Order: sequence, then structure tokens, then C-alpha cells
Amino acid sequence: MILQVDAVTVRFGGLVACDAATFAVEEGEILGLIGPNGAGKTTLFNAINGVHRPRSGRIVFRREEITGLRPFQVARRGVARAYQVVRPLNDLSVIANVTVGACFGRENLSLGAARTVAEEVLASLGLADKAEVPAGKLNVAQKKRLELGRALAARPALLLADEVLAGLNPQEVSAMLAVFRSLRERGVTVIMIEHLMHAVMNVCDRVVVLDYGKKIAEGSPQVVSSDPKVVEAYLGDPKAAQRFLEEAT
Amino acid sequence: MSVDALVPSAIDGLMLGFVYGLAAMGLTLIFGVMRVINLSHGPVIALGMFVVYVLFTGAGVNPYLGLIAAAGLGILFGVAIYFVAVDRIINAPELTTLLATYSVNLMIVGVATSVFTTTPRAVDISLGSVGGSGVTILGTHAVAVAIAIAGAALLYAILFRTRIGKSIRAVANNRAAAELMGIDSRRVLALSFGIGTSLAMTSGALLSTLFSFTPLSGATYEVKSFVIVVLGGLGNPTGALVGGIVLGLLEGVSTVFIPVSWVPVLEYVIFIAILLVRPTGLLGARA
Amino acid sequence: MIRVRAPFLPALLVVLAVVAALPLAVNNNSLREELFLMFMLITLASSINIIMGYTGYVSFGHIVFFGLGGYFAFYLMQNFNAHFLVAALAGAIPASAIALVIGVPILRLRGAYFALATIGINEAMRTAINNFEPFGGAVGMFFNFSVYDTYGGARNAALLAYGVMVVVALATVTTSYLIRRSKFGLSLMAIREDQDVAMVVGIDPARAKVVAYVISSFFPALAGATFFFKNGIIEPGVAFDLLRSIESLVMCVLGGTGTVAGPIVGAALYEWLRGFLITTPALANFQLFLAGLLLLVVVLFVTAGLVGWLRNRYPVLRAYIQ
Repeated sequence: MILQVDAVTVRFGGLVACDAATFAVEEGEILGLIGPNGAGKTTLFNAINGVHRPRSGRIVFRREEITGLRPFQVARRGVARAYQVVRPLNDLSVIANVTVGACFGRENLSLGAARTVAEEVLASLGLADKAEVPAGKLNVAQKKRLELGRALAARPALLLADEVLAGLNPQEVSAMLAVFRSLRERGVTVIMIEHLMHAVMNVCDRVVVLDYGKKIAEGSPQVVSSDPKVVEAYLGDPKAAQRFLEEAT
Repeated sequence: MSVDALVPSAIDGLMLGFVYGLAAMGLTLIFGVMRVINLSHGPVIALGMFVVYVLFTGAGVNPYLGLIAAAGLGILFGVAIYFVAVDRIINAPELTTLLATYSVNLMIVGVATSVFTTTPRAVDISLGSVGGSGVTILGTHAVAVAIAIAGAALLYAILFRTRIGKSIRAVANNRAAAELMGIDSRRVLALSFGIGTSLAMTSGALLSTLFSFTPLSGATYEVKSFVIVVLGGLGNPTGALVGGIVLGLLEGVSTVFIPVSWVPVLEYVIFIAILLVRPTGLLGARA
Repeated sequence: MIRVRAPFLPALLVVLAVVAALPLAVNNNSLREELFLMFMLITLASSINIIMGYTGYVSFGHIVFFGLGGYFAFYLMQNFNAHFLVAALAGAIPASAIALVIGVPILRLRGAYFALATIGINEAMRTAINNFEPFGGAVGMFFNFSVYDTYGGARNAALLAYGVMVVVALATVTTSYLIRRSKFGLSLMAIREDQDVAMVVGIDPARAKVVAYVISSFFPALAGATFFFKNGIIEPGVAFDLLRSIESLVMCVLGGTGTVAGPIVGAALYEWLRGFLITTPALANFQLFLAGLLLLVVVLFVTAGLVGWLRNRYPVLRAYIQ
């Protein structure tokens, strides 16, 4: 077990964004975190990597309690994050963006070593020819890959991937899925928030379903997708429910 | 000074506070609407002084008529500053707009010092005084307060009782949304800059009837405006008026207890303390 | 970030050293005076660049460290007969310690609030020292000419000050270059671009910013000590001159923020232009106006500054000009 989320509750004023969420992540697995919009998935990521401090509950990463640590402290312990809305460091070159990830994360590499890692990561994501371009000038799909690249360059033990497939065309999606499979081969643990159900069915070993901040189901993608509670949760959002049912079958 | 001087000092300070507040309302309006810290604020205040001065000494125009001219010219001048220096970079980072308005500051000071030199000038006007038993109120002070209140009231009438005011508030709130509602945000921004500049020039015109001045005098009042705006909350016109009164009172009252030369130290320390502890100001940012 | 492909720093230092030697070689005192000022401005602009250009925090009142360094050193020289070199260092260290103390709270402020706070701190310091009798209050302090005897007379003292100012400028430029090429510099630039992302990748922004601020306060403090040593007089209005503070920002922007060469080019250009305007009778009165106009044109149309514009226009140059 690499990560244990134990009864974590996050509140914003009166709103309970995360309500006693509990689940565990095994070393090396790819866990899908799904649920309708507003279910508290991104909030949970923010709680894990220290952006929000949970009101109650415990988060244990590799047998060490990390509840309430600052984001950079969590990052240095080997948790990396790719944002849903891409946040490239616009004025820096693509290679500098990825080098930032390699420099300050778990490995704490020197600038030279970090750059070598960054070059490898860029090559594996097909961005090598863009290395010297300012990150702000990339197109959306390239920025998405860069966002993932910055997280991967830290050689994280745990990757929090927030909808990295959203907004990509089918070819780009299958290219990204290949990246995730290669991550599994390298033993990197991944939690992915994803709305594309076929992607979840395709790469995730296990799925946790959140609704209104609570965990309502957990298990293999096949089991979860036929769970009446899950389908019901998505029915609150008819479009999502339809997509969910279409894609899951 | 003794505690006997407390009441007259407080009254003097309070009166000046209204005039400070009027200038600060101009600065805070511009920040509230377009997130620009207008570093040409000080020289614009000085321009207000010189409009009155030139009309008074050159053509014998009554300073209070000159003040109306300064207010009108302020709108035109502010719109001009907006289109020349701000429009092109309205969405750029803060440093850019700070430097652009500072460049306007340099240009105004450059022209004004070569035309008027830095010899102190004064508008010689006396309206007598009223009072007795230790408290005397100069006529010019009383009129300055009345005009400052009228100016503030006018700004409120414009902001809350007219279509233009509605669009200014809409643009201040959310420029993109206002544009979707069919508001031409460029025109609104330019007009807001004009109104802000007009308030500063009006305040300068009032100050010219109270103290002597040079083209560089604006700098003192600019810094006071910053302190007031932070006191009252960046972007909040009511806050600026209240902040002006608080600062004026503080200046008046504190001279009873500490040497005059320590007063600015106190002002700046309060300024920094508010920024650190409550950056939204005592009354909260943006009404 | 880019690996060294050209000996940029040595080339730059050689050019600056040659320029610095020029007035000594031709024995031209007025040229030496001009260059003294230019190297001082290079120091100020390059220092501001570390906190503004690399880190993205616009320190409007940065001149406060110039003033503090000047006052501390002056006080030591006048009251304890401290040697200038000792006094300069002993003055710069407390100035930087003050930067540490005020940097911790004010660097939490973002954007305009930070800029305003730095103005407030400079003005608070100026008005406080105006009242601080040990430092001479509003009148300031001035040397007896005998102070210069230690250095072989006023002439030699001026020469010493010139040499020190050149060394301080070269040290500032070297530091600026080393930061830009270091991991620390990369963390500053990441903070500039997006502080939240910087934090999530493992950078402690609060710490990095304070370190950058303290470094950027040290060299102006040394420059202040040197300037007022040569001047022989120090008073609050000159030591904490907000206009000079903003002028150094302008130089940075003129040359190009975030580059090593930008503040140098900007400082040289600005000084040259000012000299040209003052000595041209038809323009003397409009000096400020033209300076404003020039600044506006740069801000509106050459946002990246001259060096930035060159690097964008001719990407080949990126390897040669940092």
C-alpha cells in the first residue's frame, strides 16, 4: 500500500467538498477516480498534495503521515501532479518547464542531471523538437503533454493526473494511454481523475467512485460500471449518465 | 502644542481630510475599474492647481470658477491619457501599467517645470473666517469641504443613478461579462480614467486655494492618496472618502501629541501595517 | 537554462573592465565621474532585476537599501573612523539583514500590493531618518576633509571609490549571471511564471523569494556606501530618492527584464540619453518630458526591452546574449 486516505473531510465554509472519503492505493496500480461533476475529485487531489488542509482525517503516504504538509513538502516526498487546466510556465522554454519538474521534486537533481532527464521525458512524449520553444506558444494538445511531462520528470512514486485526456482527439488519447501503460511497467503508481469511461476501462486496475464528496463504490472497472448506485449517481447528470452507459458497455 | 489645541487641530485636519479624500476617490476609481495604479495621479493634482492659478492670475477668473474648468479639463485630459498610455496595455501585467502611467507623470512634470519653474506659487484668496472662543474656521476651508462633499456626491450620483454609472460598475465587476452584455468597455474605461483624473484635478484646484504649490507639489498628495486608498480598500470610493477623513483627522490630532516631522512616519507605518494585516483595507476592497 | 555555448560572462566582464579603465588611461576626470554614476546605475538596475526580472516582484522602493547602506557606512566612518572598505561591508550587512526582516512579511503580498508596500517602506525609512538625530536628522551628515587623509587626500579617495564602484558593479553582474544559470534561478523564474505550480513541483516559494530579495539588497547597499563616501555628504532626500528608484526600474525595462545584459544596456543608454538631453540647450528643459516619452514608447511597443527584442527577433543570439 502506497497511499492511505482515511476519512478525509474538506470543507469550504458550509460546503462539504469531501466527506469522510476513505480508500487505499496499492503500489504500482493505476486507480481511476470517477464521479459526476462536483463530486469532490479535484478537491481530494488538493487535499492529498497539500493545497487544501483537510478539516479531519488522515493521509498516509509510504507509511508516513502527510496530512497538512505544504505542497512542496509533499512533492519532495514523491507525489507529482498534472493539472486539469494546463498551467505551463509560459515564458520559459518547454525544456525549462520539464527541468523544473525534475529539479525540485523527489530526486532533487542538479541542473545538468535534471536537464538530461527532461530531454528523455520530452523524447518519450514526442516533444523533443519543441524543446527550445516558449511553453506559451504550444497548442493545447502539446500543452497537455507538457503538463504531464513536468509531472513525470520528477520521477514520482505517485502521480496525480487530473483529466489529462480532456480536450484531446482520439489519436492523441490513445497516445496518452500508451504513456500511462508504460508508467505501469515502470512501477509508477497513478491516480487518474477521468471522465472518458472507455479510457478508464482500458487502463485502470481499479476504480473509486465519488458522489457529493462520499465514496459510493469501489472495485474493478467492470464491477463498478454495473453498480446500480454508480449509474444512479450519474443519472443526476443525464448527459454524463448517457455517456457513462454508452462508453462502459 | 497642548491639549487645548486638540479641537481646532482636529477640525483643521478633518477639513483637509475631505480634500484628500476627493483626490483619493479618483485614484481608487481608476484602480477599481481597470486594476491600474495610476502613477500620474500626483502631477495631475498639480495640474489642477495650475489651471486655477493661470486663470486667476492671467484673466482674473474666480478660483471657484477655475475649479469648474479644472474639473472639465480633467475629464478630457484623463480620456487622453487613457488612449495614449493605457489602452494598448490594459491587459498587460501590473509593472507595464505602472511604468506607462509613470511615463505620463514624467512628461507632465517635465512640461510643467519648464513652463512654471519650481518657484512656489499661490492663489491669493480670502473669504474671511467665522467662529470665536479658540475655534476659527477659515472661509476657504469651509468652502473646500462643501465642494469636496459635492464632488463626492456627484460621483455617487453618476455611479448609481445613471446608465453610464451602471456600465462603469459592470465593467469594474467583470469586464468580459460586461462586453457580452453589449457594453463598449474601451469607452467605459476611458471615461472612468477621465472621471478619476477630474477628481484629482478638482482636489488640486481646492488645494491651490489653501496652500502654496509648485509643479512638484503633487507628489506629496499622491503618496497621501496611496495611504488613503489602502486605508479604505483599493477600489472602494466610499472607503477613499472615509480614509481621507481618517488621515486628515490623524494628521490634525497627532500634531498635538508628536512633533510634526513624525507625522509622515506614522502615516507610512500605518500604511504598511494595513497592507500586511488587512490588504483589503479597513472597509474592504471594491464596494 | 541554455547550456553555455558562448563565453558570455567573461566577454561581458572584459568589456565592462575595458570601459572602466578608459578614463584612467586617458586621464579624463569628467569621464570618470560619468562612468562612476553609470556603474552605480548598473549595480542598482541589475540588483532590481534579480527580484523583479527573475522573480516577478516589482520592488518600487528598492533604493531604500542604497540609502541604508550609505547611512550605516557613513555613520561608521564619521564616528568610529572606520576604514571605507570595512565600513562599506559593515554597512551592507545590516542593510541586508533589514531586507530579510521586511522581506518575510511583504513578500507574501502579491502584485500591486507588494509594489505599494515597497514604496511605503522607503518613505517610512526616509521620514524616520529625517527625525533620527544620531544620523543628523533632516540635515544629514557630512565629513571633515581630514577623513580623506587616510586615503591620501580627496583625489585618491575619489579614485578608490571609483575602483570599488566598478568592482561592486562587476560583482553584481556576475551574481546576476550565476543566479540566472543556476537551479536557484530556475526556481525564481518558476515562481515568476506561476507560484502555485512552483509550490506543487517542490519549490518553497517563501524561502526562495526572501533569499532573492536579500541578495538583491546587498549590492545597492554597497553602492550606497561607496557613493556617499565619495560624496562626503549624506541626507535623507538623496539617500532615499524614490525617483532614482523608479529610474533604475526604467533602465531594467529599457534593456530587458529577466536578462543579464538588459539592465546594463538600459543603464548605459539611459545615462547617455540624460547626458545628451542636459547638454543640448534646446532640450534641457524638456529632459523629463523626453525621458517620459521614451519610456512610454518602450513600454507600449518594445515590451521585452532592447535585449529581449533582439533575442526574440534573432533567436541565434540566444546562445550569445543572456
